[in-house]
Amino acid sequence: MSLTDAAFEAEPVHVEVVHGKGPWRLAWERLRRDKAAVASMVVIVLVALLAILAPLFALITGHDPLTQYPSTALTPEGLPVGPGADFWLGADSLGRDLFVRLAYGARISLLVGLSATVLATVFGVVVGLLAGFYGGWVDGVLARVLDVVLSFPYLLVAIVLVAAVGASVPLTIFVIAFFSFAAMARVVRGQTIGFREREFTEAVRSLGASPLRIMVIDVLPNLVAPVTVLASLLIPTSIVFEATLSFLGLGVDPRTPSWGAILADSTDFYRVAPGLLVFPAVLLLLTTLAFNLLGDGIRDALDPRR
Amino acid sequence: MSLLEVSDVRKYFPIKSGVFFRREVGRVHAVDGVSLSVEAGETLGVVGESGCGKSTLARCMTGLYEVTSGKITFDGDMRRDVQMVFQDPYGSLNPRRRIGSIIADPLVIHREGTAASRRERVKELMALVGLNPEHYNRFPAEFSGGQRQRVGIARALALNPRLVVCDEPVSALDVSIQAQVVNLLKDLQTELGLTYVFIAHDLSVVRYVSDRVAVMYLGKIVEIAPGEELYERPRHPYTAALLSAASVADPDRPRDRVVLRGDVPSPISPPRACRFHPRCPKAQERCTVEEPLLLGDGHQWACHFPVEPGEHLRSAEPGLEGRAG
Repeated sequence: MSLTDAAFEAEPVHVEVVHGKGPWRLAWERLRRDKAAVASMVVIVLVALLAILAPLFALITGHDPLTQYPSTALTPEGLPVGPGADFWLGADSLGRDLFVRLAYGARISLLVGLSATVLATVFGVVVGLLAGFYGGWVDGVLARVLDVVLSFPYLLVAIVLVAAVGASVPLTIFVIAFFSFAAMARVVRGQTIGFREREFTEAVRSLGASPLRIMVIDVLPNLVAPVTVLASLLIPTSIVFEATLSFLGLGVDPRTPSWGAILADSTDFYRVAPGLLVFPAVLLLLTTLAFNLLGDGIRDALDPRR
Repeated sequence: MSLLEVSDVRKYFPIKSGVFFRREVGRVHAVDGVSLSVEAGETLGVVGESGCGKSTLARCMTGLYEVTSGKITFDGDMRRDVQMVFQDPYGSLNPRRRIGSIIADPLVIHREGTAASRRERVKELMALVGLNPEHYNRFPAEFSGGQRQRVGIARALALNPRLVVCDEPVSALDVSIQAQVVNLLKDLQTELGLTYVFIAHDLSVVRYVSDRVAVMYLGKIVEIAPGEELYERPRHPYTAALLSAASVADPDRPRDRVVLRGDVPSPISPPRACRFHPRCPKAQERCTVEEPLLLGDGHQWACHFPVEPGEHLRSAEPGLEGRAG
């Protein structure tokens, strides 16, 4: 029996659990005091509701997003009607309900924005962790791959891919994620190199911890803050990216209502029907602004020293 | 057999340049031929200026660094029975993890016990190092520097190690806290029968804790002796200079200060033969051609012209001024 055991049998320790406020709890409390971030969250929730309730709006108005209603949506001169009781935000040049289309477009924007961000984040974190942790030739190869990705002309690649396999939502998500993950990987790589040399990783390494354990248990929790911040800023970038691709006809299927495609349709008609341009543009602006402000807020909340 | 035997250990860090094909353009000779042994139950102090290779030596001893050449033999399982206490109480604890899980790391990595038994052990350890066991759910940021260093000590003790390598364990702490942590380490040694390698640049702390003291200069041990002997009768001129530069409790006590000229030479291309010769007040021709070996019994020094007891080293210009380069 060792001395330690003897000492502790003689003197049993009574313990009550005291929970310290974790860094996440503190960050959430700081975020809640940030007015811009709270307002952004409200806007994001509203856009999310618009997306989720899109079929409900279609039901209430009786307008399908893809169906044209030439008898009610177009004036005798063939111009789209403006906002009113029937068409809440007016109709588009083909006689479709703009509001219902924008609501369905919110689905595409959020779906593409979030999926591309998740994909880019997962991929970027894995690549960045491996490159930063192992260094050497692994880092050399991966860093060069990132350089190549970052120097690709993304529109050209999108055009080629759309020509080859046809426009679709999964393809759009893939293209956006592919061109976004490199930024994430670079940030994660840099951070990982920093943490690899810290004494707390040396401490577990001297115990014989496996590289996987060090990466997942010791390094990854320290990356959650920068990754969360970057991911929250990747969402609006991806949304704009999707709108850009769709605007150019390289994104989702042209018939699918997407904010970028709706904006593209408006270019010939904004003089007679300015709502066609203004409503989707404002919606896109508000959404990306809200995500950006929320991202800034998250960054400030996670790192109060800045 | 000694608990730990270090024989002619060298650790060089390559300096690389180039983007694609990284060529080695030089080497930092951090530890360059160190031999020493650590006996069970003793405290071996290692002193030296920053950059002399003390921390590298510590990391070689714990197996964190693979040595470039030479051999380290430990009587036991190195990963388990040799543990380390780190210098920086802020950098050595993962800020995103609770201290209970940090202290349990050695147990988890070595697959010791169940989650419940590990938790009990963590609480025992926290009490042992003078922390409130109720605080195991807190984050490192909620502790002071001294308390964090106690967490680091608790982690090092989790597996009941035989050798604890302390790399400047108190140099980052306030002076008032240093004594507490040093005394804790001493008490734990008595209670648990630990062996320490205690690395520091503070001579008085090393004197207080160590049975034997080794002095390092530019990757080599220049003198090693029982503590009192080294402090009272230094034989290597570098040791004498180091001791004379240390602050003493009584400022009125008369003393000779040996002021060393120049800076520590670069460990990338250390001086030939005796590495101290460009700065040594006693250096002669021989010191530039023949490397002095660490010789002696009990009190060992590596010098051709050791300081004689009672001799006063003058803070004069180096003995080989003008010929050093």
